Amino acid sequence: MSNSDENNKKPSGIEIFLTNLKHLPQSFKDAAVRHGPPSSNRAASQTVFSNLFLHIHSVRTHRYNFKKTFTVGLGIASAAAFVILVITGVLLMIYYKPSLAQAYNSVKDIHFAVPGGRLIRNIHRWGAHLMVLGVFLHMVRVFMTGSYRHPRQFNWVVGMILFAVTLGLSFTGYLLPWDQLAYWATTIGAQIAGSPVEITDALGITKYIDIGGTQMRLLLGSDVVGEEALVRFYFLHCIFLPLVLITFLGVHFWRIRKDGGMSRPSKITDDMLVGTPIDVAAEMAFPTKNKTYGLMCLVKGDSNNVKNSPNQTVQSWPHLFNYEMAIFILVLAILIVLSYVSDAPLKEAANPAVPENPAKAPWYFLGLQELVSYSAFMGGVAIPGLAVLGLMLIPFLDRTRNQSGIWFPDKDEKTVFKSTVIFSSIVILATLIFTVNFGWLRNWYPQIPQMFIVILNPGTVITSLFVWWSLRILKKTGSTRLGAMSIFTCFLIGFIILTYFAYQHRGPNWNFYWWPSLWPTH
Amino acid sequence: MEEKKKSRRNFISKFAPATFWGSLAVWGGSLLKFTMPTLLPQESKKIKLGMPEDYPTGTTKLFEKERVVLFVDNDGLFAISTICTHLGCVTKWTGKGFDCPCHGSKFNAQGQVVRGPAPKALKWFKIEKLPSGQLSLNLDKTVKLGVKEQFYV
Repeated sequence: MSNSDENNKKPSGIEIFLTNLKHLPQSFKDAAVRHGPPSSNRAASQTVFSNLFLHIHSVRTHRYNFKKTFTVGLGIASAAAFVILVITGVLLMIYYKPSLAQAYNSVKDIHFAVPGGRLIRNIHRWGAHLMVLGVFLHMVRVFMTGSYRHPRQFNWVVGMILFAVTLGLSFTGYLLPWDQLAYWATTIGAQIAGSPVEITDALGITKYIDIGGTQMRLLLGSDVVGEEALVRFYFLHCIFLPLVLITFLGVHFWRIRKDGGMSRPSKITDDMLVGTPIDVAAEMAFPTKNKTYGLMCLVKGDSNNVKNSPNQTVQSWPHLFNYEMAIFILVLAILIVLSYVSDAPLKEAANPAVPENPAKAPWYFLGLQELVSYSAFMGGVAIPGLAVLGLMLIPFLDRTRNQSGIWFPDKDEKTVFKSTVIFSSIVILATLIFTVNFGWLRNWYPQIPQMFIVILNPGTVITSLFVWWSLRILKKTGSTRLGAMSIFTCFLIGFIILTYFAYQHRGPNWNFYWWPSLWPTH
Repeated sequence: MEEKKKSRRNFISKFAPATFWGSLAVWGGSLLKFTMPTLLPQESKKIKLGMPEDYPTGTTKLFEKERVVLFVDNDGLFAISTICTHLGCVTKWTGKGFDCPCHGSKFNAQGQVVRGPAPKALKWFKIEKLPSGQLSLNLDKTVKLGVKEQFYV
């Protein structure tokens, strides 16, 4: 007895310390991650909801979300592009100097002297293009599958804000290299912000309320694009807009969860789920559909999950995360390949005396630039402003509760889509051909007051015909969804054709050319 | 007595959040004001031209940095801005008129719009004679289209 007492004597402080030291990795891990490895459904669920970064996902994900033809992974791809942009952007900030004297040279240094600088800059540039494209296509997907419907109206609005901020980020980033392209694209952009002056001038009230001039001065910090503009754009691009984007991105993701997961049809048969991961246990566990289930699988509101058993769902860990990581890697791979194939442009240093000819905006603004070449205010402010406002309000004006989550659920939508594609293509092509061949009011009546041209120009003609067509569809079919479908399709086709036209067929002096190879050398 | 107490509490409970939001609004407004530039740094808007006899009839002189072209014809001196009234690009003096490379606006030799999206004619600037007898071009002052200055030597 006394012997064993001696053996069980209190360990010395040093011994305790050594034992703790030995267990340090394990006890540290236990403190950080308070559950076992995600090998059981329970542990996998805990992994998701006890982790700050993962808990923005729900614990279980509906199998319908994994249908590759449904979302095409566009939202995740845009978010992945944003993450890559943040990483490369922060790296670029190490060498970039936002001052007139040094901006151009520092970008040149990044491109030609800094180790890996060219790759980082190229990835940043391609990432921006990909993000704009991804956000745009994501919006098209959400619209076409009717996923903006109740209860997701608000998230559609948040999405539109994110779209606008994404464009703002590209626009502000465009100036930073301070080359010819940057300088003149920004000059034009700033003047568009100032273009309400066209209206106030026509009304003769610019002296009293100069909306355009105020906006422009706020953006540039001056009357011309210079040092102040560079500093403001740098701040907007690197701090302000990214913070706004991250905030709204958080809301956007959070709302997906709170709105009951991604949209999906109310009745999903097994053959709609072919090729998606399956959780056999969940499919078998609850033969009756109306059984209430544990809190983890419930979400607020009258979403499809409430009072349903969790069949047709799988654990988010690992299925959803694998899917997301796969898309992230794919995006990264695409960006790296593109960056090796094609360099981000860097023209001569900005020269305020000689404009780049033609001074083209990045591709996603080219459609607007074509409209701006008819009227600065209508093309640059009024039409895009109305388009964005109209897009935002779609879920409140079309409150049908049809099937969501399916591309073209019935024949009517397909028919309206097809006829609208044909109609809008004809309208735009006819207007463009007419304008290129015969010019517009100013060519026929040089003395005509500007107000006439602001009101009646190719851009407003196209827009009015679009609105007329959609009202006609709305009246004929009696369906707000089909009306929304036609106006959305009109603007989609308009965007595509105008972008192509300005990219391919506009050359020096914004004249029409069949191919860039026909441009005169100057 | 009871009633009065209740309403005072109501008042305070409404007044407190109103104070919060009100002060936020005032503060936010003043922050917005902060971003509005009051100092507009720019180059001097006056160009010294020299003596009138340096400008015989038929002279055309381009001031590239200041973005203005000076002309002299039988009626006198006049200066036309080369900044396009559409979106601020710099137009090119072609000998017959001004062409804008950005969106295809064209102006005649007087700066009037001939074609394209430009909403109005190019600006004409004031030419002044300084006490020293030298001429000066004032980019802060515009004159009406067609106003030419005679300076007899």
